[in-house]
Amino acid sequence: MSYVEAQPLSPRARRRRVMRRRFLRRPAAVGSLVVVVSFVLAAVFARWVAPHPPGATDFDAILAGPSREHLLGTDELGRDTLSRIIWGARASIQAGFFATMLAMAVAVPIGLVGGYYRGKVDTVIARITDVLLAFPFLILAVGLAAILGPSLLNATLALGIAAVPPLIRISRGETLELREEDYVRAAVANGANDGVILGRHILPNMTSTLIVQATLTIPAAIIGEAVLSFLGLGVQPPTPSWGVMLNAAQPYLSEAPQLAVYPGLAIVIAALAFNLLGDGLRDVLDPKTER
Amino acid sequence: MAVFIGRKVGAALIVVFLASVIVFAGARALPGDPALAYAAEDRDPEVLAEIRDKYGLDDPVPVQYVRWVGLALQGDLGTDSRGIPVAETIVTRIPLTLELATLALLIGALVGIPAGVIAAVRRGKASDYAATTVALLGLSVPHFWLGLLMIIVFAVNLGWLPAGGYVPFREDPIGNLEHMLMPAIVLGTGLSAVLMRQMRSAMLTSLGADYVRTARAKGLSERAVVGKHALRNSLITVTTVIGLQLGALISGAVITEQIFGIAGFGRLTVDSIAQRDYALLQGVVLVAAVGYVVVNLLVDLSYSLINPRIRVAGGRSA
Repeated sequence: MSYVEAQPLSPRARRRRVMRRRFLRRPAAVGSLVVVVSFVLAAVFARWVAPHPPGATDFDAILAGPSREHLLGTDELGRDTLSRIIWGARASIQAGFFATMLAMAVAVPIGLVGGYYRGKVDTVIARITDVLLAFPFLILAVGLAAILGPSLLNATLALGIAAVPPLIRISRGETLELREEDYVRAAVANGANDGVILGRHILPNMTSTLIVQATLTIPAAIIGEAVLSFLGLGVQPPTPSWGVMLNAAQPYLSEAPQLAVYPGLAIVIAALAFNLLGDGLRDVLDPKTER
Repeated sequence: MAVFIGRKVGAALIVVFLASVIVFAGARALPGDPALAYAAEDRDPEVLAEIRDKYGLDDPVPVQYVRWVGLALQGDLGTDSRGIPVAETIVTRIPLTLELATLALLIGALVGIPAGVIAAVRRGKASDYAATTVALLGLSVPHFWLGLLMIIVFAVNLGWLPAGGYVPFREDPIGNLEHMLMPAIVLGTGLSAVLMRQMRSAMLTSLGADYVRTARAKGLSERAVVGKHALRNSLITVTTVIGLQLGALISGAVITEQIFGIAGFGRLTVDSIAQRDYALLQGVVLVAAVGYVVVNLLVDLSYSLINPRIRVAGGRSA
């Protein structure tokens, strides 16, 4: 007689399965994930997704309304709005992701060190964070972008640096709390060195907080990129970006208001999707926070 | 209490000092020769040398910094590239932005706080979902796009309100409010969304607290329970949030003024960056940072006045 032994799921796999179920039970979170993924795919495969090249001009259709040829109409040079929005997603997604990654890469180690070692280093870190927090996010980003010079890369850098201070505060606070946990004390008693404690015990336990923060920083950076480009401090025309498109639409508000509507709608949908995804992830990863 | 205030003020002073260093270093880091900005089109080396000498641009940077701070403490922020005193420009621009920010705060509070209370009291019902959804939308809509949309609808299509510009209140009060209404709504939207969310969660916490149960148990009307007990305690949290939102308000004012063509403090910030006007930029950003720190200090202090427990806990950990 043969039998198949039931394989008990490892605790980690079980946890993952519970998370997935909890996530799938939230329609808003699932929907926002779908939207986020479509935005990313559209940005990456813009060349194939967009019906027209972003710079292609159609002089027979200038400031035209929606038509079969141009689903969302055209701008003052006869360029296809839909195609430019799809290409513009590249700048937004790029700024959103890379600025957030940069901010995390800088802020988390600083927060870990400050929160874990306390003492003078921590005081200095906390004070500098306070000072940087005295500058509003966008003002800091605008100032940095002005120093670095206008381009998408520099705007991304500026947004990333500007997002560092709040993330330091969060990761530091989290470390302060986690270092008092019993498992950290146990690890210390077992003679684990600081690197192991920080990397294997504290960091993994704050990943859920960090993931949620990341999904909330990305939309801020996406809107930030649009604002910088709108002010002429980010992506430079003719390269399409949602902020550039909105800026270019300003003279045509009465003739072709749709030019100002669609790119903004893209920003709102993208930002909303990331915010909802962040909310959903917080519910799933951190059951403590009741809503 | 005196020790507590002293400590808070001391911390704020340190923040202001470091902020001034950052502002100064940041302005120096801007690309371009400041002497060229002052000289406008004149590139004659002699003229440039004269300007460098006049503004002390050849001195070591720390010396320049000390001189700048020394004068700033006396209210002298130097002169901009057109020879106009920076402090004077800032003083004339600030009232516009203050009016805009005050109106926005008013709109934010008048919409956000009641909406949050209603959402919390009617938790899980349709009105709660509606308020929560609208708030989420309000958080995701960027100021400048909302501004453009409102211009399209209310200025271009309906012709109800002017698309931009500014009229001083003293000259034409109604015209002033007409010009300020759209910008204030644009700036107040994000704030009302934040306040609504904070108010809702604060109210939910208070409504679950023991003192509310006690109030209900002793037979108080629902109105008294919500209005007197839960609301009052929730407002404390919201006071802090308003202070923390000041930064967002300043950022928002920059964009809003840009769109509606209001020559306020925010517009001045962008212009000073665009024109590479050192003295102006330094002054503007310094004033913004100091204002932010001062308001947060006041919020901190008032918070501790309302709730003495903060004072004790804060005093111990700080």
